[in-house]
Amino acid sequence: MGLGKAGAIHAAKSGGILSIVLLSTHRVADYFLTDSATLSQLIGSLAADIVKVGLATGASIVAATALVGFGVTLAIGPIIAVVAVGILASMALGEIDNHYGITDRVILGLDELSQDAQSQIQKTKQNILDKAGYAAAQIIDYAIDSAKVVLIDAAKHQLHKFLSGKPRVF
Amino acid sequence: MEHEHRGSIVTKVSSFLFFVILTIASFWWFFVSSYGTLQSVFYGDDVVHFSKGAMYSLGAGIILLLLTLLGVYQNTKKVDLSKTQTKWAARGFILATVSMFVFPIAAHVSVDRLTAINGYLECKEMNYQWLLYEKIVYVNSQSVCEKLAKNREITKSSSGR
Repeated sequence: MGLGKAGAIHAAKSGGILSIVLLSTHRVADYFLTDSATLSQLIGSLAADIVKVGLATGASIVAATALVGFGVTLAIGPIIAVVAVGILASMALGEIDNHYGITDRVILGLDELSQDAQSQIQKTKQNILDKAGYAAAQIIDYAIDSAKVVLIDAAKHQLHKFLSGKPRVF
Repeated sequence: MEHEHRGSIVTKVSSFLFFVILTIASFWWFFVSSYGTLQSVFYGDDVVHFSKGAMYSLGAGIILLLLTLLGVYQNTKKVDLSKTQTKWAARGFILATVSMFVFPIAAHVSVDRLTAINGYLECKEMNYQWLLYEKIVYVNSQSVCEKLAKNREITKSSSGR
């Protein structure tokens, strides 16, 4: 049983890890079961959850340490402080997130980042295609010009041969 | 009873301040949120916000207050708790912890009934939940709910929310 400072801190850490595991499982399941969910939503909400749980766990550990530092000798004191401060911190973080829309902002930021990356990839692709097209056009132009020169030379040669005044010797 | 290291005066004072600030913040959040909800209901506002998370802060505040008082008692008397005192303190803390989880449920049911009596309905599109934290929005008509949802979408797209 998590009595005393060490027990309470251990319980807070285990609780934090368990919360992150359960929340991640829930978020991933929700991502696969919801049709309109995007990868940005999954990553954004997971990131926000982990930060919130981490902060709440940190606050709980501080509370347990502070209680022992305060000189309270009650064995269940630290675990009670962990529960009370953990709940209070998670509620406060939920309120702050809801009020300022932090998770939504993270998701939107990820969406913008992904859109920027996509447009950059498209731009690079277009650039490569343009350059390849230009190079191909240059080669074709060169080939046409060369063929033109060869044809003109051959025609000139034949014409010269045909029009030359030398009598035929049979 | 546990005898862990006793802190210095600085540690004790900072720990005392930590608990006092948290206790005051908990009670303040609870009273401000409850007052806001009740005022909205009794003044007949179009929208009533009920923060279930703030209801947990009452129980947390009571526990933190009890811990602070216990710390002050032990520091002023300079004694460990007797067996009887420990037993009663443990019972008190367990009761406070249980009530911390029970009270928000009771408050939710009460606000649900109170709003229903006053002609409000729940606007599920505007509700928010994260773990135990829940914010419930009640409105006096469906059109208000739709308007709120539309406003939220506009705010989200314009300000990045």
